[in-house]
Amino acid sequence: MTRPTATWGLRPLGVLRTPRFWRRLAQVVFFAFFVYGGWVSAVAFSSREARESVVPEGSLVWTQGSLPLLDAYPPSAVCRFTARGRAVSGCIVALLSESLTVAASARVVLPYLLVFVLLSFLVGRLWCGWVCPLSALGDFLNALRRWLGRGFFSVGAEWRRKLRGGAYGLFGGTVAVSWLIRPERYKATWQCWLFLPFCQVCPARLACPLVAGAGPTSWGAFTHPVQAFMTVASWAVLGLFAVTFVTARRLWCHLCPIGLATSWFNRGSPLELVKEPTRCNRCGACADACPMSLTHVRDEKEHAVLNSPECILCLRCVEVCPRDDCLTLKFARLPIVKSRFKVTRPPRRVRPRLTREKKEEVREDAPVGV
Amino acid sequence: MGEARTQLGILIPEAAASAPPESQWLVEGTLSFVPGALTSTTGFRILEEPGEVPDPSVRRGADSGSGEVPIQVTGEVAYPDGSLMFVDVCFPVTLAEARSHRYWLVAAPEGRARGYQPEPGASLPVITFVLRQESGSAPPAIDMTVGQMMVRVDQHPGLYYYWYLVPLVGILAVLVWRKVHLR
Repeated sequence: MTRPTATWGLRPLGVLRTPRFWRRLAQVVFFAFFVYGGWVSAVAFSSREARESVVPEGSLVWTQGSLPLLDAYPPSAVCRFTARGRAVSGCIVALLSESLTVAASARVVLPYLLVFVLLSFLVGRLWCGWVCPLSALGDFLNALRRWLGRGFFSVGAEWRRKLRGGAYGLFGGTVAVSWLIRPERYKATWQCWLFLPFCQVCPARLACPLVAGAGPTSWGAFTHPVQAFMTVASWAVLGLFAVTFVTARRLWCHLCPIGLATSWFNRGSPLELVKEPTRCNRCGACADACPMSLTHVRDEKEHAVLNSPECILCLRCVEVCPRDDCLTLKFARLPIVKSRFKVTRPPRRVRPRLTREKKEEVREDAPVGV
Repeated sequence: MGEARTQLGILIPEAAASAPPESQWLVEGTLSFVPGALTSTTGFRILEEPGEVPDPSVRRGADSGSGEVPIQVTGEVAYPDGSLMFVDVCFPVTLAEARSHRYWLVAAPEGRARGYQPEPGASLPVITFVLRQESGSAPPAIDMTVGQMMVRVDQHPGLYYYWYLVPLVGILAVLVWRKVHLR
């Protein structure tokens, strides 16, 4: 039996051929690293003095100064809500939001901004497909859907535009609220409950402490009406997050402001998804497989570089493309992955299970001499 | 109940070699705290060395050999539950030439909110410090990392710390160029 599969330049054997395997592996490793890595950092990387004075033993607080580069990449090494709500770092949205509220000096913000811009430029939106711990959780839900045999609906171009507008609204609203609640503007105490506005409704606020073993610390914060509103809103957003991943694969990723911030670098990144239009037969396998419901890989007829702001570079299209060298992932013009049509064994789950009687029938039906 | 201590490092980079030795500086900055961490600033102390905290009943003033640095606390902003959200602090430091000095910020027990469990990580401040010379006119540049209150003192305000803008602008320029030309 034949089926299309992509191969890596280094051509490893068996399951190691597929980008999907490496993507899953990366998601698991980064999920563990980001959610539990703070503890490792506290134990292994921080100085003895810092461990004894600042970081409580066993805490998930990511110590500053240990791996500063990772602190700036979105989401950060440890989400603010992972470490019992008391982490000191955060994603790029949290960084901008907090910097605006506390009026942080540009000298403090610029190094972090530089790291974010540099990494986003180098790998574009690869973060969303391979690294983001929230989307790893979402992919787990998606796998649950497949296991249950449920279908999904694709998001059309019109809806994708609306959702991207929603992401801009979330990003802009976060920036605006963060600036408006600056301490010198405080006239009423309720404003302080809007500190880090997006973080308060981010799915990570409720999901990360649970998986980090900190318990449902953020689920019942009702001290003030504004805080209670944000808590209920976070429930709704987490529900939306789960429902969208189960029913429409990565619909949430169209709304995510962190994904929006990285998507600005996708088109100009040296990590490029390149199509050879003459080899494409418009079979549509790429469009069917795309978790972001993108169709431009199938529809593109002229332009070679396919980096769309919404593409998360999960390489599902490269993996399922049945044409040799039609789709290629390149970094600085150097090919990394190419689509290949290979003769392989079919996936175990789709092979028909033959009972003893069926096997007898098959043997009987076989032509003479075979 | 132990004190919540935060390490405070003040470093003089190479650019400060021109500063007069043993010069007095004023460190001004804003500390931010999570809800419920502290209720008042009466217990705020800055120590030169970790060790015994001086008797809280003793009035703080000029350093009398106790290792304590006098600190002025102003501009308190509180959460609705009364605990502190932002605090402006100001204290003098003596920086020797090309040396670094570490201080200890102590939030004494009387400043804690009721029922608050002592957890040093809980009072990690998020700070933007401004350092200025007592008699000088132009404030020198500073830099710091969040959390451990690492304050870097520099004599050169302005462009020295803005070198980050050079690669930042460069990357953005390449990005725009690629967006326009690499279709």
